[in-house]
Amino acid sequence: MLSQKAKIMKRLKLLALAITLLIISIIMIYPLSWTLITAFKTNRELFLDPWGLPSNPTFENFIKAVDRGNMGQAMINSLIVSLSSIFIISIIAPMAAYATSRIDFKFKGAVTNLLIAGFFIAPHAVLVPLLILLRDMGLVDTLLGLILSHVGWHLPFAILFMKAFFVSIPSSLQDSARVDGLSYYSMYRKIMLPLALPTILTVAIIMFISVWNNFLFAFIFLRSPSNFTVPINLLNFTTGRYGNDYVAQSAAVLISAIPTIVLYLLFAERIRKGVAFMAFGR
Amino acid sequence: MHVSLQNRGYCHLKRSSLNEKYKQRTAIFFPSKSLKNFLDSQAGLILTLPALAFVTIFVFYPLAQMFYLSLFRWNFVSPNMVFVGIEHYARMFLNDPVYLRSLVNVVLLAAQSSAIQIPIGVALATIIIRYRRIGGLFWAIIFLPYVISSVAVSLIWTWMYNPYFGSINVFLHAIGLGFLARPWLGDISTALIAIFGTVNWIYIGLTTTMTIATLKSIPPSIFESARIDGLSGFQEFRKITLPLLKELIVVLMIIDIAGAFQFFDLIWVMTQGGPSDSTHVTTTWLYRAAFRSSEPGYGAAIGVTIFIFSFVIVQLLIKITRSRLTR
Repeated sequence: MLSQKAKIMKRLKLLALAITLLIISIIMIYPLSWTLITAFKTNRELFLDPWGLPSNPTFENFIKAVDRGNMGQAMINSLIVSLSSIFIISIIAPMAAYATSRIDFKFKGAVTNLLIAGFFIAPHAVLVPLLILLRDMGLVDTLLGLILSHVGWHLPFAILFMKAFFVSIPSSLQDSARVDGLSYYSMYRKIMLPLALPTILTVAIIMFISVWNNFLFAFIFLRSPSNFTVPINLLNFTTGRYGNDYVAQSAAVLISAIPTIVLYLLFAERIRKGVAFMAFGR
Repeated sequence: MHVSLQNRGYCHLKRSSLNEKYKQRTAIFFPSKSLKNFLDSQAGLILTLPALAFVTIFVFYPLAQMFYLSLFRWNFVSPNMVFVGIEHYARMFLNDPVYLRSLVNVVLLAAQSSAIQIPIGVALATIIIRYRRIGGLFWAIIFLPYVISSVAVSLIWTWMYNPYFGSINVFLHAIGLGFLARPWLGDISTALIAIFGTVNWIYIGLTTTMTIATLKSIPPSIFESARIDGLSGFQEFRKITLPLLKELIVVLMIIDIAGAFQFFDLIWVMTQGGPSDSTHVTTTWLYRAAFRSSEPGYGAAIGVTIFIFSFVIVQLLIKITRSRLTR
């Protein structure tokens, strides 16, 4: 009797759990799927029946978003900025991380602190002097200015992340290579870099998503629509002449999210692991 | 060059003697050994130099200039900057109700993030770990919003809150609670709460993920022995998981505080600080002051306070909690 009661209780508990998870999943998925459906509707349909399915689904909204919403150009700009930034970071960050965790040198402690401190500083605080700096360098409203700023502000996290990896490599490996006559440079190139490649890939993916999604710097530094990256172009599209064209905006939002969602589907594990590191980095 | 991956028993040697050995070996191969040796002896600095250059130019130089600029009245273009001392700081705390309101909003944001996301995140993390198969899919779903740009997310939620076709009002009407329907982001009493809802929707997956990473670092043997001892799921959570989570919870709260001071995109896209400046956070107010009202000096002064609140206080918190937790 009693055990049967316990069994039923257990079943009920599991059922309650399943329902809770289902409700949370719906809350998480619903806004995204609503946007997906809306992107195939007309504005008339949207206002008459916000929950209705499109009676005659077309790609017209997507074409409009690319054509008149400048989304195509913005995607190209974002790709240039993101790829250039992660390329520079992927070369510089592992070098610095390796040096600060595996080589003894003067002022190592101070240098390490300088390299990492940026992770704890809000870039928002320095927007004014940063804009003045870019203006003095003649880099306002250029993709180059955006790329360099992104590199500077993303390096601290990348270095912190890579350091955790280099510290975990046994020092005997380095010592034996040293005795074999390798300089620090060739040791880095021939031993450390190949070992670090998976970690570099993780950093590059996380940095790509972060740079791709970054709104703040583009919002402050870019002026002409031909230079806009995706997030600022999105905002420009939704507040401009097409401010009431919600279905075309939905299509633009979907287009903007495709690259990062694809990356997430491909590298979910890596991305979550890398992002979870932020908690340990502090 | 052949490199042995095994420990060859040189471990007992000091690093400096290893460097000596390296120099002897390389001397045979490189005639210009002095340059080679010099470069190698400076390897640490040389390898960090590019990163150091970037960080110095784009992080620390602007940071230093921020303090300087905050003491001047100026308008970006005119050549003469007027020294005003601490006038900007005095104005901020004595004569700028919106700035003070924005500070309150930042505190509210950090407090509600901690109060809502941490308990739910911890609960979801334990569920995901316990029911692995269904948990994996669930984890993938709740983390998804985090990889979408904040601008896209803000637009989507602006539509959710739209008074005419927004799903929330449509839903309220559908279940007979139509009297609750309102322009969520345009109503001064609900705008901030509506933004908080979106914040939690984005970050719940991140909090859960960080918690899972922490829980997975706990050796599973502890849970096994607990189960053998007959602890129920809840007891297991309270007796084992929660104490181990203590440090993580502190870390998450610190992240929430620092994050609240770095909050910009969502509020700028959803409300631009309105209605009636009620949803400003310090960053949006900085933007308005510096770039819309063309007062870069005042913007820099607000930046100084953001830096002090988010960096200095957070570093202190980390120090205090570390020493307390490791005692």
